[in-house]
Amino acid sequence: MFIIACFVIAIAVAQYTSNRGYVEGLSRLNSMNMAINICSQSLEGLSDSIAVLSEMESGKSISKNLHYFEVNQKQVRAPLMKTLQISEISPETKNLLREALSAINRFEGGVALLFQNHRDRKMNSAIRTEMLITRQFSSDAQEYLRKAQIDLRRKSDSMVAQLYSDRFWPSTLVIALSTIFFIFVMTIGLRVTKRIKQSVKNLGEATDRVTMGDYQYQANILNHDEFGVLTNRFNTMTTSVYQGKKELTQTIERIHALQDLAQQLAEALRTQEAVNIAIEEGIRTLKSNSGSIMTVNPDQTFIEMVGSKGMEAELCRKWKVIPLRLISPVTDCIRMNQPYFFENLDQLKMAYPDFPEEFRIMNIQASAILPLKVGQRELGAICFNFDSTRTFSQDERDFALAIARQAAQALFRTQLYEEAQYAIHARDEFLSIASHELKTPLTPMKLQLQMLSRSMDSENFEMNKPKLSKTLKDCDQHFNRLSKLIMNLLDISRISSGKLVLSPEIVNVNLLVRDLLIQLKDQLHQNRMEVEFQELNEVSAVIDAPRFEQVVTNLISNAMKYAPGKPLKLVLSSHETNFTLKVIDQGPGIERKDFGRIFQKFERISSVDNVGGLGLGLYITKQIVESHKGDIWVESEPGTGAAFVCEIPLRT
Amino acid sequence: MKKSALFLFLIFSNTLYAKGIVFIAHPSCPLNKLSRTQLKDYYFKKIRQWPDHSTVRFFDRPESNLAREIFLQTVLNRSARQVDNYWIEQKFKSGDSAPSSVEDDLVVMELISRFPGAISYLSEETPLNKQVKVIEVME
Repeated sequence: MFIIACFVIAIAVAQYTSNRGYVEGLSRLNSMNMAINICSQSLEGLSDSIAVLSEMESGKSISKNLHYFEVNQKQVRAPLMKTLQISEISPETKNLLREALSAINRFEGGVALLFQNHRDRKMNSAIRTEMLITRQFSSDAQEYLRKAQIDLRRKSDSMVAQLYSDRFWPSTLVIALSTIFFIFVMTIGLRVTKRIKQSVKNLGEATDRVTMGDYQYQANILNHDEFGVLTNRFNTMTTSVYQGKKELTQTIERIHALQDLAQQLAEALRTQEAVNIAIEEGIRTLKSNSGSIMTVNPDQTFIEMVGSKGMEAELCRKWKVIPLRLISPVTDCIRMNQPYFFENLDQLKMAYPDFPEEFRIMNIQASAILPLKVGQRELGAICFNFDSTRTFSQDERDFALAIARQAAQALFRTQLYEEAQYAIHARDEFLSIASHELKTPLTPMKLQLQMLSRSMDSENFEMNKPKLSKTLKDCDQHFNRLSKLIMNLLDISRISSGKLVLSPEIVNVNLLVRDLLIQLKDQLHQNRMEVEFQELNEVSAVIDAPRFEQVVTNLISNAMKYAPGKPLKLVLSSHETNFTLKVIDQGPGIERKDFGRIFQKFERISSVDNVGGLGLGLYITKQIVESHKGDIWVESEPGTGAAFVCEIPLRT
Repeated sequence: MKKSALFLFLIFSNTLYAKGIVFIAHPSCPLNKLSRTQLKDYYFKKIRQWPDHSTVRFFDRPESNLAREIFLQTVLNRSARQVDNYWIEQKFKSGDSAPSSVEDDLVVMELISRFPGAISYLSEETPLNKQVKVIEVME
């Protein structure tokens, strides 16, 4: 558009300029012709004036001729003066005209003198000479005028010739410019058409290729015009379609992976199986290099690595069991109950400056740590590590969380299954132990009763009296044991149904423990145990005395069971609101992981069969202490004995 | 008689250059000698100025004058008719008009004394006054 406008303006300007030149030429020509006419008129006037002189020569009236001469000369001079004003006349011509004017002046001066000097005289030779001289001036003037006229004519002729030869110039210019413009427009038009054709073809090809499924194809951008923009948009569209398709494929793949994982996990019954499947499938689908699962123990104090893949054995050993309160990525994840995604090592180092060694050994560059939870229950965490830095898109995060959810559910299920299995096993064991325990006193009792009955029948009844009384005493003992077992079972059922009722009273705990030790003196003696009772304070508390006796008896019995022949120490102390009784033995000790378990129903400290019991003692003890709003726990290291600590408020 | 004697003399003595006429000029004329060519140029107004830039004003003589015949023959080398034609042609071609002719020798001398740059010729016998200067003609 701009170019077209330029062309049109150029043509208009050219036309205007050339036309103007032509018109100016015409006007100059006109001025020239006017000047020529004036010269002719002046010449004619001069001739008339000379005629007046001739008349004077022939002796006619001078005064009449003078008037005529003066008027005539005015007519001669005025147009000549005007001619000098015309700017188109060349300086040379003007010079000639000026010369002519000065000659005319001299002529008029001469004539005036003639008239003055010879008004009344007769014509004589002196006057004739004067006249001749004056005539000289007039002929000079005539000559100059004629020269000017010829000059002007010559110039006007050449001007006419010039104008004539230039008459085609404006139209020629316009035609030439129009032709150039036409050729220019045609060339540009052809080029544009060619470019458009090429662009359309190019875009068509691209469309075909994309239709055939080549979504990665990017059409060439041939020109930076509207088609270029269109092609660019087409490319963007193709890219986004490709991206969308890729994402769709990925999503479908992930759904498949999750389905596979769910199916595989559904088939797993054992926790270990579920753990291994979750780790392996997670590593495969997330394309990570190593993975591990940690679970929290039931009382939420520490976490245990239950499965790992691709991890250094040394690290696995070091991190097998760690306290939950430790500051580490995994424990934080579990405590905060939220996923952690570290996209590069710097992020990890910044968050956990104490672990560079671990990160180095495992060559971790990126890491995803996801909590395993079902409902509100925290089971642990699953952890995936990557060799190279990577970014986790929202999709990937969601996918990882979905894997974690699946794993958590499977883990929860298998744990429940295992717990159920374990409960069934414990119940079976309890039944067998209970029947055995219940039967154990019965068999000797029956034998003794039979023997007693036989002795009653026999003759030497009197003689056997001491033996009989021993038998009865034995029977009584067996009976006591039986009744104690039954009492325990009754307690269990009471506790289970929530019917454990306390009858608190003010009790001197020091006295109570001392009495109890006296009562148990025989049993302790039998087990070759020495007891030290350390009383740090006088303690009197509001408690149910028989139940508390039960607690202390149970703890001492346990010590007798597991640490026979070793010294036993009891420590009683009171603080502001509580009192504490510690029962410290020097037995085999208890492993940390069993701390919670031993206080549960049907659980025994040792799985070793050489120690009898129903596994109810500590359960009942804990229930009694808790019903006093107190607490009981164990402090122990394997091999160095165990200390059961029982803390009860002074006033409930 | 006088005229015819001169005419005869001229016919026979045409080898003698410009004999019978004398060239006179205004006393201020810068030149003392003129060649035939220079005279011709001044007459035909081919050169219009003296070397001192004063205007050349040639006074001719009428055809009836003997001096003119001699002038035509010896200096211009043209017939009177040819000279007339020349001036008619020049009138339309360049605007130049023929020099004015003066009959009387005294008037000629008077005119020459009045116009600086004036030049004319007289019969050799004519007595010259002191207000004119004689110009020599070179071969």
